[in-house]
Amino acid sequence: MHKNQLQIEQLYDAYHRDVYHFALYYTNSKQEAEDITQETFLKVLKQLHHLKDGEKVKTWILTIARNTAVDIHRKQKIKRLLTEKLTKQPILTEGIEPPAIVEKNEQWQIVQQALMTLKSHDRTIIICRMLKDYTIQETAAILDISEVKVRVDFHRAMARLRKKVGRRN
Amino acid sequence: MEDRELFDTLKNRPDIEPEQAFSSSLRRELENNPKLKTKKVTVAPLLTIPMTIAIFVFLWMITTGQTLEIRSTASPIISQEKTMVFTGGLFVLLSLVLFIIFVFSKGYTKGKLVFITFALSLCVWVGNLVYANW
Amino acid sequence: MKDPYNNLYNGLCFIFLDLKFFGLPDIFPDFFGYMFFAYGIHLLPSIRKLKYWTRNFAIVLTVLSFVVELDQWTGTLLLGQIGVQLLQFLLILFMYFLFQLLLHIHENKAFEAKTFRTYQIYMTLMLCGFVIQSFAINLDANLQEVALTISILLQLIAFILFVFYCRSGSKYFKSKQQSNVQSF
Repeated sequence: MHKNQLQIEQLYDAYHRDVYHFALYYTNSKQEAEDITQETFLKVLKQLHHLKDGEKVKTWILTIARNTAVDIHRKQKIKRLLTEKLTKQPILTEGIEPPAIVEKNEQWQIVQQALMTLKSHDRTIIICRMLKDYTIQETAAILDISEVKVRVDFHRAMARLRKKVGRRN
Repeated sequence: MEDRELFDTLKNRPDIEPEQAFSSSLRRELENNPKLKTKKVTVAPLLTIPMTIAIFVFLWMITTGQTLEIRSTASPIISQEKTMVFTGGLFVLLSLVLFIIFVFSKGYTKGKLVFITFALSLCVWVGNLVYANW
Repeated sequence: MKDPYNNLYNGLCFIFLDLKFFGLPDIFPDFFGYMFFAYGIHLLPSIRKLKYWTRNFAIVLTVLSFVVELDQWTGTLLLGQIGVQLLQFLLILFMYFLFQLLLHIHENKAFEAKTFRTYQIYMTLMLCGFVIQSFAINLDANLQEVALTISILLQLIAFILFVFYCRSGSKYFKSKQQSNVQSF
């Protein structure tokens, strides 16, 4: 147990920023990113004894982070939609602002909002390849797909993102 | 190049780093969380333990020629004893078959459960051989 | 490069099929089967330690099965049915290790999924068949016949499953060879 304790602290120190960045890019919400980071490391702690290959720890943790982000973001989205339906008022989420303010905002918000309109799979690939600078192999491991599929899907996702950013600009 | 510039602005978004308070509190939570480190009770050991006990009792029964004593008003006669052994054997067979189906349908490729499956199958074979030659 | 899956298929055919005529030994001797297995494993594209261990296990089983066959053929019957049944158990154990090896070497996700499914069903059928056969020796004549029939049926289905798997493996191997040639 003591060995596991040291390990979790070392893993946390090494990777919590990566997990938080991923979660923030994925959800564009500070609150959700914190929830995802917390949930991810609690799962890592529970499953640490299952990890056999120490060299794959980074992609293993990010896979957990990605799956957690998908779950939490989906639940939050459903909650938001239900609340909107019940109160009959749109709820402004963090990062989605009225058009007048968007114009003033920095370029990063345009890209982030365009990223939010993409499907989960495309968003993950772009975050991994363009924002976190992971290799094709690492991205393939996180998404559990082949490297060939990463290359193909990445180009398609970038084309879609460019279209969205172009429209917003 | 333009793509890179776009993403560079997003990489440098002002709120990219987690708050220090959040990071520290999560680290403390992970340090002080013994409950999470205890393994949950899963179905697998619950199945394995009675399974293993049943097989060892069966092996003991046939190697020592003993039968389990059951308190009743009438003492078991030979045909009843045979029925009991047959029923016991059938129970062990069905339990072991179900256990094998459980282990492989769950997709275990290594570990204690797979080892126990092979060990129990071998024990059962040895036990039946011993009983047949008794 | 030679197709490993053909050799694995030949191996199991030799082991599973027993044809004896007029007091002659089995025309599909098991030890040939294990030799095919050893060669097939040698051809598999993997450098893991498990590959060498499994191949050596196949060689050991070649020797053991030769001894058991000889024992049966010469009629000395020192080992008798015990030897045959022990070999059966060792075969199941060997197939388990072979599947571990096969599961580790494929980059094609669809074929890897097929390998995994085959592993699950094959191991279940073979072990259940073995366990039922173990109990059959202590049953009455009628029940023994039923139990042995069930056991043989389960093992036959497992054998057919493995044959189909080897065919798919062969197709995958050939398509991989062709794509390697084309890339030059």
